[in-house]
Amino acid sequence: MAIFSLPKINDIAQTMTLFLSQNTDIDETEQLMTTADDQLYVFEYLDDTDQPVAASVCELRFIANAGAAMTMVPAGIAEEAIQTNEVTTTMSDNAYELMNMVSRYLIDSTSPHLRIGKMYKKTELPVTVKTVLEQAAKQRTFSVTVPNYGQGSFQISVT
Amino acid sequence: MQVLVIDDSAAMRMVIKKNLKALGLDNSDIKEAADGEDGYRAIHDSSPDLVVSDWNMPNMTGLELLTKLNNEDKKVKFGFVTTEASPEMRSLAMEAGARFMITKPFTEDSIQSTLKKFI
Repeated sequence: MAIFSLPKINDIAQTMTLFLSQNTDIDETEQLMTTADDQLYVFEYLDDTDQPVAASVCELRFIANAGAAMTMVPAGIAEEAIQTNEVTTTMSDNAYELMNMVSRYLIDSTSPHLRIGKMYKKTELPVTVKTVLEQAAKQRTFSVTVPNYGQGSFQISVT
Repeated sequence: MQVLVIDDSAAMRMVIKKNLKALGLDNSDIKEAADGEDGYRAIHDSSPDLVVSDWNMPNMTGLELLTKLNNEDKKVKFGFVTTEASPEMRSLAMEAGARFMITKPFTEDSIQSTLKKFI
């Protein structure tokens, strides 16, 4: 049984609309639309012993679109990042802040503490984070469409 | 009214600025700093009326900054916006003289209702 919670769609909507447009569209979906590992990034969540206990797998297009929109980087730069498969530091820093905020929805008064750790390319995951993804007790996937930018998804996995 | 927003996340600084502007401040009332050291310099340069600071930042944390100001007897209204807010951290913040601790995730209503008490 999972010891951490999964965020609800209203939680994600609250966070996304705080940072992005009020018209940002959030949906819960069955799975990520991207399966190519080189187009996925992973944020780890660590317990108090620095062991990964949860993770968020983000599509490159989510990081590009949401990350760009958060600090008003032009949509063309986000599109370029998607085309070239390489997000900018600003985009990843902004996505880190989003996923940091999301981390609070994984814990409640009965669960252990966790905090966000590093971001990795899915192709460069340490074994410990791979294990979290492979052995996740539950997962939830969200699609985020940012007006004037575009769509992208992320999936939260908890142990 | 001068407010200094200190956060290593540009996106979070933008969110806090947006909410300060919703409370009636304009761009000229709001300064920004990207970490505790930058914030320390900005406080001495511009003597803001209110500091809204992140807790975890590179170079100097928000608590280290507040403690340094206390040691210099530099008086400024100071509060935190932070993801990490354990009872121990709240206690440390209040002992150091923080006026508020806004915990992420927050809503526009919740951050504005706290900030408006200090501006």
